[in-house]
Amino acid sequence: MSYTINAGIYAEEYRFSNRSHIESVPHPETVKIFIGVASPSVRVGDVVSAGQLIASSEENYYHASISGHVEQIENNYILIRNDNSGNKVSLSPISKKLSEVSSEELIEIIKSSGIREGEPVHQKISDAVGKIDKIIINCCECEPFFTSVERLLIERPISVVNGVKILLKALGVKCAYIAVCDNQIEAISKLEETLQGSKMIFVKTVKPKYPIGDDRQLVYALLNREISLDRPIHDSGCIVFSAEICSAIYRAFITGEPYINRIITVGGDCVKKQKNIFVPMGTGIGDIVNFCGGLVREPRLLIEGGALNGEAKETPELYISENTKGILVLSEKLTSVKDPDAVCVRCGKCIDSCPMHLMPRYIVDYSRANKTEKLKKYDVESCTECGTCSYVCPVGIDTIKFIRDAKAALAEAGEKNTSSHEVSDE
Amino acid sequence: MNDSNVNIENVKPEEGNQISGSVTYTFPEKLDAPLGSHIKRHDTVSMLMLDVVIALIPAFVWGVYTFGIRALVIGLLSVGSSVGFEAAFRAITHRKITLYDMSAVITGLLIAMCIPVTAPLWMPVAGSFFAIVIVKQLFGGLGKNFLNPALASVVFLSFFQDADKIFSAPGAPVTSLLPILGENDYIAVAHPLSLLKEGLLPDDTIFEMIIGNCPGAIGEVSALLLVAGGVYLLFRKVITWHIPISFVFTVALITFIFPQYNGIAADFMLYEVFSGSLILGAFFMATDYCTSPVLPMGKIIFGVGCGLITVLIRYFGFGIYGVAYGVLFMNLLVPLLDRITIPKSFGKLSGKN
Repeated sequence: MSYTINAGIYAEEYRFSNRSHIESVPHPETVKIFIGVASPSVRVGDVVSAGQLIASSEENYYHASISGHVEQIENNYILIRNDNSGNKVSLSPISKKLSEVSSEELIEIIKSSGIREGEPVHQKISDAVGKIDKIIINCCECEPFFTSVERLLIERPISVVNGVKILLKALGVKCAYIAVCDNQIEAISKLEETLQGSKMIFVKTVKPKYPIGDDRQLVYALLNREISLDRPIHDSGCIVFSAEICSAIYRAFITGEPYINRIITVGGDCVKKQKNIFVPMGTGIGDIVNFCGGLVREPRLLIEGGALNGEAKETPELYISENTKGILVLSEKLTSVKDPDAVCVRCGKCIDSCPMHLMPRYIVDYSRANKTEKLKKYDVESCTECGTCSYVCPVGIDTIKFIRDAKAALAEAGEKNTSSHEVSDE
Repeated sequence: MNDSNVNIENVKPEEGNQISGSVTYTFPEKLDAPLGSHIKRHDTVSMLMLDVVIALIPAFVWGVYTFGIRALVIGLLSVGSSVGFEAAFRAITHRKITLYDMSAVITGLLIAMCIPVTAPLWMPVAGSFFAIVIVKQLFGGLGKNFLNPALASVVFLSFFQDADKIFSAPGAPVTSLLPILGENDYIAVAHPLSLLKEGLLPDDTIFEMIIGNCPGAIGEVSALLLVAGGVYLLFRKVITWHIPISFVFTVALITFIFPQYNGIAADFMLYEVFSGSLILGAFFMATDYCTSPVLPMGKIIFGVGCGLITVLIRYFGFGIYGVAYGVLFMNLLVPLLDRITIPKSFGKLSGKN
């Protein structure tokens, strides 16, 4: 039986690319690598090889994803121009077997490989060591368009499974669940085949109900443990990683390759061929679209992330980073146009499907009226902006916009309160 | 969507975003960057409302079959004038014409289904005016009205007719079609609910009551087809089970425990459930989006309240208008019900915080 969540929605249209194999994108002419607050360790004009360390902070390491020379260093990115030499740093894979490596060494490998997913993965692991009894691998791909995780499981199940083994060792726990949507039969059978009845790693199927791929929702679905947004997930006794991270950890362990490539889906009705690609970090949208055969329709939206909650870009500039789950290029035909004058008919679909059990309908009302007290009562701050309410609304109210307005209004009100030191009602 | 892998000949990538061939495109300088979800599920209000119309049609057709062609005339008048009043009001007040949402069609159809075939022909028109203009549009249109327009107009119309006597027996011909304001030639029979109020059971068998071979308003007689329509709506996820089930169950329970009848309580209960507009009201009127609570718990309380007031009105009040008064009264409590049933948000249930 598959695990599921009460709320949420089935939104599985347009998953066309689940038959297209993961293809490696050739090294582009330039890459732009975002380094956040890390300080660069190279200078403009330096020649770098693929895999070379180019910036570091206390927690994070950033590596060049192609060989070439450093053309530009700005406060949060480094631009490297390809010299087509194909130079790579000589990789030094660990020579020991997994059973002989200590947990600290593994965390060090993950740290020096610069594996990150929002936050650095090594930090997530060290924070959780000793506090958890289970690892959950989030392979739930329940969104429209995206199929890269499914393809990863089908084509490289060994890298995911071995990545999980490394994580088990690093965290010192004995149980891992790999959560896969139950309609991805091929991926499940490949995983089962690779696991060969493992006593530590189990495949758990979940219903493909958006947003079960959200870490907190997944923990709730599998283990019935609710974690409030202001608590870290390891409070519930488990930790969640993505399939992408598992395979990156495996690559780092087996070949010593740092985190300089990642797998994403390029989808939408504008690209000629929707593809799953293995792409160097920092590759620009132009190179990716070219690799996918170019645009065949007038693009209206360029989205980094999912079709329901991804970020639409205002200008056609997008560079692959660790946060890029996928890229969508959508035309007028597929995208929803929100009607600013739409009036709610109280159908309640947003409320039925809200995974956070909020009442988007009322939040929209009070956001329009700017009533911060009411917004607090309806707990708008708990909203994860998954986009479900906006997706299901039959009259096309842009709920997410109102929710963001409401959050901004609340934040502003909060600032005022703290700055003026006035006695509040409580 | 077959066009995911569109193959267009002679597309050769050049520099950057430049792609040769007249059929290919480049990114514009500036893209649209809306918030919210970028795609939308393909259902619209019009589709939801169309489903309601589809669900109502069989019971209405049964009414036409049972009571004759005059029922159809009333239906057409009612739907036509509802749509007309809506369009006229929106046009006069310079608002966006909202006919495409189909809600006026439903209101018109429901009004026709709630009045007897013997009603004078001005009634559906006056009822539509009251429902559309007074109850719905003056409060801001679909979504802003706090009373169910159709039921409000049924109560409004009940002031003008001799409620207990004007019902026609099924199959009895209503001969004169033309006199708009005059009397009709009909065989007057008592409404089943009027008999039940006196502690008498109607002559019709329960089976006849269920299939709709009994006196009553045009659309309310065939419980069977109404339930079928309701099941269709449940299946299409237009409505949820909470309101209809709790509504009908409450009526059944109370009439079973406290029957106003000296015989078998179960008989009385079945007649109460299948006469009048209970099934019509429970599946199609109490579930009206605009005038019912949005949360499951609120819906159940709403349904139980509707059932309770319906029985009270049927026992001690205007008899056959129990459902209308019950639902209208509960309509007024909807904001309150929504407020007291706010759910705990995810992650706030556990005592860990």
